[in-house]
Amino acid sequence: METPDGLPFDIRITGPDLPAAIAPSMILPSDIPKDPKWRETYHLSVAPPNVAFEMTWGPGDPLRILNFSRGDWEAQLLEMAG
Amino acid sequence: MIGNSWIREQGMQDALLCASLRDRNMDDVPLWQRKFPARDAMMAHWDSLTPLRDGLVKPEPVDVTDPATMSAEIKRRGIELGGADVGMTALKPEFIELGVDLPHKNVIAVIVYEDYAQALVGPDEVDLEAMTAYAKCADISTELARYIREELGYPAIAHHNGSFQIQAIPVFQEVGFGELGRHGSLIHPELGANFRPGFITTDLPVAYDTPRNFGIQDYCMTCNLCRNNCPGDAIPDDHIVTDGVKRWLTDIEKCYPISRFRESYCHICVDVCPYIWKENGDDEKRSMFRDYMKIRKVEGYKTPRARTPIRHRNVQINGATGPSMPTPIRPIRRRR
Repeated sequence: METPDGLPFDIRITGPDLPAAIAPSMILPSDIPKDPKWRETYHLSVAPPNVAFEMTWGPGDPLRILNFSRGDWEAQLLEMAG
Repeated sequence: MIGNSWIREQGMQDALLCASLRDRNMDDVPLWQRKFPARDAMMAHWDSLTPLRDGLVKPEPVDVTDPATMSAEIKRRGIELGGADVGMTALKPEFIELGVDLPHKNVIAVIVYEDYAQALVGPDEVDLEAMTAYAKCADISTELARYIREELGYPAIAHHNGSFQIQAIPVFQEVGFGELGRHGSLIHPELGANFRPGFITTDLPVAYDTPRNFGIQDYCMTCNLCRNNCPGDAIPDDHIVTDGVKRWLTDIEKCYPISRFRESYCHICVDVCPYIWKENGDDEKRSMFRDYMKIRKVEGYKTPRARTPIRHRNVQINGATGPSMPTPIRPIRRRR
């Protein structure tokens, strides 16, 4: 995938069939060490072109943000999404 | 003011770190298990300052008629306490951790220089130097916050490794400390990337500093020394742009195996950055830089071609191949 101005823009999601909705909440940082070996069901990453956003979640589990860096890519993503 | 900046959590609260450990069937970060009393004392020091971040404010604030004079006084005190540079700007939501309410108008940044000569001594020395600089930042920010509260009569909270809610790099840029480099650290014209930060958020009226541009981002487009010397291949070719600033986002999943999952500290991307001497023209640092490049070359990494003979200074080098650096280096310790 490319941005409207031709730059690489990679979006990947792994997991079973796409869910109708993502988890409605985000895990509290203090809860992360309680289950450090937790395994996600879904994994979404956005690389425009560096990995600027990456999150994981599972059925009934809150979102875990692995990476997030603000940038022009956010507006580009909205534009590409129509 | 409510923050809107996602800041990576430190230690085991970092979801990516946990996932990386899990994928390697590891339970903890080996480096953090390692005993290093001198370094651990520095960490204990900034932890001891955490309860002093905030406190009572003198009831009658002094009348600040000239914010520029007040800024100069705060800077003078910051430097006197051991800071290498002090800058100030208006606090913005993007400078504050997501969801955190900081009821202040301004932010003061203080940085402490890390002695570049330690790069030529060894991983533990660099680690200790970094943690010592962090501890000094905690001292300075705590004392400046206390001074502002107790002697000037304005609310003020210190932010340092003991506890912080400030996103460092955007503040650094706004106060004119320098420009963001390819390695993901800010490059200061006098200090290179060899410094550590502390902050104070406050209502004290101060004059604001302004961003400075001296061509670093353009230089980083072609330099590539940090990229070529990263043992984890974590520094990218490409970049994103945020508010007009190029950002080469380090691939953290590649960085962690080097910077976290070994017993030694990795500071290579900073130590190979030529801005330790390039802008300030410091001949001694340039000589040290060249000595360090020799070490990197022996280790098999790409280095600049020497144009003039390397001058050896009074810097300890542990043998012909440098500071026992079989591959990556240096003990890492989490910022907390």
